[in-house]
Amino acid sequence: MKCKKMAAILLSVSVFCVNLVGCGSEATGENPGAQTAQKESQEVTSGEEVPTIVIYNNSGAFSVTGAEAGSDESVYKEMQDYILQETGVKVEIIMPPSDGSAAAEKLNLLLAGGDQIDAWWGSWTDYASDGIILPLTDYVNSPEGKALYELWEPWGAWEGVKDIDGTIWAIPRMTDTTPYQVFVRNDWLDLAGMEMPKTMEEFNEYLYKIKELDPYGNGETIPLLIEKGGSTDVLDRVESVFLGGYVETGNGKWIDPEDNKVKPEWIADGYVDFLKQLNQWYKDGIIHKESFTMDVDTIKRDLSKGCVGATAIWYSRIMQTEQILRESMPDFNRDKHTYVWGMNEAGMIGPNGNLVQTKAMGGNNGLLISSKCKNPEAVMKFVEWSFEWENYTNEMYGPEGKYWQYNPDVENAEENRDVVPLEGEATYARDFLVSLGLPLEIQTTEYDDDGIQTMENLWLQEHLDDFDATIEPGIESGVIWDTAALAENIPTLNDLNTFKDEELVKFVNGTRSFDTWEQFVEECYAMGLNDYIEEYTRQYNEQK
Amino acid sequence: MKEKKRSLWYYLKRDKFIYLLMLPGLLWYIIFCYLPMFGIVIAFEDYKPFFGIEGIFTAEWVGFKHFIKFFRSAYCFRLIKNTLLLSVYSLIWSFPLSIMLALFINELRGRRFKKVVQTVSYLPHFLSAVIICGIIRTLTSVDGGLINGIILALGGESIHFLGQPEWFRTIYTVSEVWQSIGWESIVFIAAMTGIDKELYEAAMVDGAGVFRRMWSITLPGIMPVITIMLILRVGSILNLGYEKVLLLYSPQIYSTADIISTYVYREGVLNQNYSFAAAVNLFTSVISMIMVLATNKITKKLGQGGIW
Repeated sequence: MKCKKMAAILLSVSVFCVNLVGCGSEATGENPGAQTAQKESQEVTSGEEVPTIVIYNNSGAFSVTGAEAGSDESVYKEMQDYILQETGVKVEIIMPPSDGSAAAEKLNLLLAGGDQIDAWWGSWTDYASDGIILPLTDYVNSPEGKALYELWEPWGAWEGVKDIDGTIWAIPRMTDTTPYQVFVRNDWLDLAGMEMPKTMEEFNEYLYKIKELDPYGNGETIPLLIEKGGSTDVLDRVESVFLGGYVETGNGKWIDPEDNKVKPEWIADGYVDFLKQLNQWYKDGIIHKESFTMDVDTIKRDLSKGCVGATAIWYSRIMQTEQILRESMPDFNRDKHTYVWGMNEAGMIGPNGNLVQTKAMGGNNGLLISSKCKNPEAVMKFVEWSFEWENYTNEMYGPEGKYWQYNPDVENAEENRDVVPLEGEATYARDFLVSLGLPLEIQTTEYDDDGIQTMENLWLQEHLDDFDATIEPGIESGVIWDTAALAENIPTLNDLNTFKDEELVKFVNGTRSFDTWEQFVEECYAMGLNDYIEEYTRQYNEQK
Repeated sequence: MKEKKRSLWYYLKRDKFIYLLMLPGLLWYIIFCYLPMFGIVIAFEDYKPFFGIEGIFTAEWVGFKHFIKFFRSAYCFRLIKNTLLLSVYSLIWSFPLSIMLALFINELRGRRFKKVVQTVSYLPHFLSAVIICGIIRTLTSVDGGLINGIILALGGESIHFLGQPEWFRTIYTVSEVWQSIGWESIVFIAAMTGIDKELYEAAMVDGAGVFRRMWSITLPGIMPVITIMLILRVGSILNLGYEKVLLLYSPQIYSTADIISTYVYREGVLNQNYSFAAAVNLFTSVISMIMVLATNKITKKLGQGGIW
C-alpha cells in the first residue's frame, strides 16, 4: 500500500515538474547565442564584463542568393569572435524573414515580447514620439562619431533622420537613388533586331515582339516582369519605374495649383493613362497575370531561369541573379554583351516627353537604437567600427583571405579597393553587415571569375545615383512625413490605402471600367481623402 | 440515515493524489487562460506594446475609441460578412461531410482498408497552412498549374484563380473541407464505437439495411456528440484563423478574402496597434459567446442535451 502511495506521489510530482519545465522552456528558432543574450545582456569572459548587444538585422543584408538558411554556424562564430576581438563588443544577430511584411511582423512581436533587441532598422518617425528609440545626436556629434558623420554628410542623408529640432534619431541607411530603371535582355534585343529602347513606344515594340517570338518557349515567356509594392501601396514600384512618363510630377505627392494643397500621385493628371497602359499590358499578356500576388522569391526564380524579357522591379533582383542566368546560357557571348541585362543609361522617355523613372528618396529609414538598450555606447562602437571600409568588406563577404582577397590581376588593388570574392567556404549570409549604403558600397570595385567588374558593383558605382536619368518625385524632396501624426490625424488612412490599392488593381486587370474613374475619385473623397490632403498639406507647410 | 456532511478539507485530503494530478492542468488554465484575460483592458487604452506589461498600467485610457474606429471603418461590414461566409461555407460543407465520412468508415469491414482510408483522410490535417497554401498556389497557378492545365487541354483559357475575388470562397472552402473532414470525423467514429452492437443485430434481424441502420441507430446514437461539436463550431465562427487567408489573399481579392483576423493582423501586428486588435478580438469573442449560448439554447429546445 505504501509503495503504491509513494508511486502515486512520485508520478504526480513528476507530471507537475514536466509541465512546469514545459511551460518555462522556449524555442525561438534564432541563433543559439541570441537566446542566451536575450536573457542577460552582460556576460563575463576571462573575468571582464563584455557588453552583449542584439541586433535585428533587417537592413537588407540577408537579401542575397543562398542566405535563406542563414550562415553556417562556424563562420557566424568566427565573425562574432573577430568583432569581439576588434571592438570588445559581443554582437548577436537575429535574422529576419525574407518577406517584408513577415520581417515587420517578427520585429513587432520581438519588441512587444520584451526580447532584448538593442537595434534594428526602420522609420524613426514610427518610434521617436513614443520614446521607443534613443536620440543619437550626442553619439554622432562626439569625436568617435566624426568619421561616421562625415561619411554620410556629402550624401545629405542626415537630413532624413533628423527632426525639426535637429535631433538625430537614426544612422542613415539610404541615400537618394535611382533603383527603378527598366532593364532589357541584351540577347533578346538582338533576337528582335532592335536597339535599346529610348522611348515607351520603342519599349512597347520590343515587348510585343518578344511576346510573339516567345524565346523561352511554351508560351512561358514573360515579356515584362513587374513587382508589387508594399502592403499599403501595391503599385508603388511600377509607379516609380514608369509614372514619370505619364504624370508630370512622377511618383510623388504634388501641389495642386488650384487650391495649393498637397495631393497623392494617384489623382494627378495623367495617372489614368498610366493605368490604361498597365491594363493594356495585362490584357495582352505582356505582364504576368500573377504580377500582384508574386513574391520576391518567385521573381528571382523567373529571372534566374531566363523567361523574362524586361523588368520594372527593384534593381538588385536583377543584379543578384544576373550571374546565375548568364552561367546557365552556354551560348552567351560576353565579347558582344558584358552582361545579360542592359538598360538605356540616359533613361527612357514616356508619352508626355518626361523621363519615366522617378528618383527614390533616401527617406527616414535608418538604424535605430532601442530606449531599453543597456549599452547604447557598445552599439555605437560596433556601428562606427563597421562603417570603416575594411571592416565593412569583412562584414560584407566574410573574413579576408577566406571569403575575399584583393584582386591579384590588377595594379594597386589594395589602394583602389579592387576585390575578388572567393568561393568554396561555408555559407556566410552577411549576418553582421550593418554598414550597407552607397557611401561604402561604391568604394569597392568587385570583379568576377572572368576578371570583369560584377554587374551589381558597376551599377552601384555608375548608375544608382545617376539622377540625370530620373525626375524628381513631386514635392517629396527634403520632406519628412510624420507617420505617427498621419495615423492620428487621418482616421481612415488604412481604409483609404486598402480601398485605393484594391480599386487600382481592378483598373489594371480590367474588372473595373475606366468609365468609372471619376466615381473612384469621388469614392476616395467619401472615404477620407480630404483628411489625407489636409494633413499632408499641414505637414508640408510646416516644413516648407 | 442522514449522511454526515464532510468538510472540503476532508475531500481534499481523501482524494489528494487526484487533485495533485489535476494541479498542473489547473495551473496551466489559471496562468495561460485566466490571468492574461486582464490584458483585455488594453482594448480601452492606447497601449504601446514596447513597454511590456508595465505599459498596461501607464497607457492612456481612451474608452471605446478603438471599438468606434472599427465600427466606423468602411470595411467593418465587409469584414464581418467575409468572415461569416467563409466560416459558414466551411461549416455547412465540412460538418455534414465529416459525419458522412465517419458513417462510411464505420461501415467498412476490411480492417486494413479501413485503416488506410482513415490515415489518408486524417493526413491533410497535419500539414501546416504554409504547405497547404503552397499546394493551392501550385495547383491554381497559370504557369503549369494542374487545374489550368486541364482547362487549357479542354480548350479553355487559363484563369488566375487567386487573382479573382469570385473564386476565393470556393478555393478556401474546398481546401478547408479537404483538410478537416478526416480529422473531424475521428470524434464521430469514436462516438459510434459506444453504440450498443445489439441494436444493430436486432435491426438486421428485423431486416434493416445499411442505410436504415445508419439513419435509425448510428445517427441518433451520436446525436449528443454532433450537438456538442456543432455548438463548439458555431462558437468559433467569427474567430476564423488568419494564416491560410493571409497566405492566399492579395489586394485584388480583398473584396471576398479580407476577414476580421487579417484586418486585425494588418492593423494590430504590422502597424503595432495592439489596442485596436484587442478591441476587435474582444468584440468577436463577445459575439462568439452569444452564439454559443444561443445555439446551446436552441439545441436544448430541439430536445438535445446541449453543453450545459
